[in-house]
Amino acid sequence: MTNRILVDLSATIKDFYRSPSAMFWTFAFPLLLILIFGAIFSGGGDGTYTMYVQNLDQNDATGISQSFLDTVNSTGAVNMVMIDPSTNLDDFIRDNSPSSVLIIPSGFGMDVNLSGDGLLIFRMDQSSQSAQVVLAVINGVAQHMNLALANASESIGVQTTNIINTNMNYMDFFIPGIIGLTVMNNSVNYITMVMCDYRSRGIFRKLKTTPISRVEWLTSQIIWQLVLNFASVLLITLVGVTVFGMNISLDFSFWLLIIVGTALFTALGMILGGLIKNQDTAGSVVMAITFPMMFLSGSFFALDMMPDYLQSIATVLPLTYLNEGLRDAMVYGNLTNAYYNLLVLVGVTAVFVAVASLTTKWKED
Amino acid sequence: MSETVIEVRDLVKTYDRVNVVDHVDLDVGAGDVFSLLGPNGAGKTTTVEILECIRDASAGSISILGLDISRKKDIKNAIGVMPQSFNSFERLTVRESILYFAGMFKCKVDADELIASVRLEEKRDVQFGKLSGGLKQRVGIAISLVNDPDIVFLDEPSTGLDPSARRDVWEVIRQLKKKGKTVFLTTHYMEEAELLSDEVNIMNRGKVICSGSPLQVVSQHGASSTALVRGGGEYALNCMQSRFPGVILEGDDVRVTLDNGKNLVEIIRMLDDSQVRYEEITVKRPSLEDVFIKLTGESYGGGE
Ligand SMILES: Nc1ncnc2c1ncn2[C@@H]1O[C@H](COP(=O)(O)OP(=O)(O)OP(=O)(O)O)[C@@H](O)[C@H]1O
Ligand SMILES: [Mg+2]
Repeated sequence: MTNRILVDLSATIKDFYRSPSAMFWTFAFPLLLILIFGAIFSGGGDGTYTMYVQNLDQNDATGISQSFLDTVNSTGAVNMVMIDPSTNLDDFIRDNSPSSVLIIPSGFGMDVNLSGDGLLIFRMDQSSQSAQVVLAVINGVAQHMNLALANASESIGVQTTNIINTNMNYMDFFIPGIIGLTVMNNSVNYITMVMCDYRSRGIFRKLKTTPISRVEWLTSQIIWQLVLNFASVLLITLVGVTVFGMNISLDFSFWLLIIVGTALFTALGMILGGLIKNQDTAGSVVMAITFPMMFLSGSFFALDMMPDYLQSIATVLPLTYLNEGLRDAMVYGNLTNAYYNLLVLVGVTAVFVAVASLTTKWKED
Repeated sequence: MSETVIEVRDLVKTYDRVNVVDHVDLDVGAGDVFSLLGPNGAGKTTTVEILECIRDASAGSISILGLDISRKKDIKNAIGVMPQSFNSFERLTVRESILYFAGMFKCKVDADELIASVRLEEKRDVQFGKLSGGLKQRVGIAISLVNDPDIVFLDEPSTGLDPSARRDVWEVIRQLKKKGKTVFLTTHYMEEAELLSDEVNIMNRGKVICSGSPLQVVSQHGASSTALVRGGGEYALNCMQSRFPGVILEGDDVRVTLDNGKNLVEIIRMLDDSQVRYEEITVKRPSLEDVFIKLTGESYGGGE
């Protein structure tokens, strides 16, 4: 028994590493996704927002203007970029397209000090999310200084800390999504294609005339899928950590999620490969199933950014639970949620395996 | 007659209430090359795959090497199979393919000897996908031999091959027979069946419509030999019509049925006496193909 499994495995491995396209989709494609999305979304590098400031209050004897900027800077929430006072602001905006600019008018400090009605000017692109964030920071600091100048104490203080222990940036969110996506793509594509290929080549018929059983063959294929998925997941994680400075933990629940995810999507692939006889049709159906899942299951964007009806679609897609589970396990460190998602996946896997065992046949009959 | 290694009685296979194999009896002698012939959809592959234990019969009794068909495990170990249009793994080499299937049987094979037996020594380390059609079929045959079977089933081993590649396959089949293996062959090429087989069965619409050695079949069902007077034209036709009513004009040629060759001399004399001019006279013995066309009522090019 084990002997036949090993023979099949070694053939599968040879077939794999001699196939450039299989290598590409398994290893290069996820990495390409990461690098592309990484370049798009983490342009700022440190994950903070850029705040452009033109300080026209250069001869401020009160020091208020400078201390305002220092306070903003000390929040660490924004990355301040100073614009030279002599620069024509309209030219600057045209040339650099900032989403917002804070202008400290000349005499601002004096106004605050003398009459208590200093006015800052904030030019912003109303549709820009980062401009909104910068505005919120400025408002917060202004509030704080108002109270301080009035010699009042803050009755209510808000101490902000991060939602998660470590500093989460977009890549931290994104990479578990890519891992989920890769597990799905690898497993569904691979097994569907292999089944169609073996059927059209008569390999299943041939195997049927040898002592290998369907269970042995499936065992070999599942082992191979696990090996493949572990390898590409490790590669993705490695790039995430080294290139994007991801903070993650690969604990037990993470590996369980990968294993169950592999089983689930392999079973799904078997259902497709068993029902669809034609290789081209199978390819299209696989695309039609996996492609929407990529976008609707929160691989690329957080689910709560999507409209409600799309969010409710997401709740019935298995990839959603894999993505959420992986984020819980790798990034949020929320094991309760990770295991909840795992449980959902185990349930779906059981159903898929049951269906697959009914639809997977080697023979015509 | 030699010992029977495959005995089939009253085999029926029904798909959607149609008997695609319809009360078939077969007897295959040990060491024989047995050919199952028939047009597309006749039920050849269905029959063969039932014998190979990959499909189940709807009714009938089958014994293979004295084993009842229900003893699938034992039968599978004793037979070798090349399925119709079989293609091994695209990216495994010839040698790796053979070792793979040997591994399925857990038997030690001398892969190189097997490769030599189908004369693929030079292609030993070439990937299957890079071989030509004829070589692929030979790999398929080699693979069917990994468990040193007593009976080898080859479902259309020469379909789609060029004439010289087909001859190479024939040679391999002759070698199998020489080694004492029983070969169960299906083919669309009558010439091939006639040359290789000890026994042929012609199947049509699920029924075996005739069986016997190629010679027997031809003499039982074949029309008599015919003589073709090429370039004889109307003159030859008129000259012979009174004596041979069955004579027909085909273009500029005249065809006349011979009575076991006895009247050939008479024909030539008649033509001479009437001073009919013609190019040549050829005598054509009836072939299996003529019988096949007569019995299955199909014009036949062979292959698909
Ligand atoms: N699994 C199946 N379900 C339904 N009908 C089938 C099935 N397999 C074969 N048939 C039908 O049985 C008939 C015989 O098919 P079979 O493949 O045995 O023919 P064949 O003689 O091998 O033909 P060919 O020369 O084309 O290979 C065909 O009409 C085919 O459509
Ligand atoms: Mg057939």
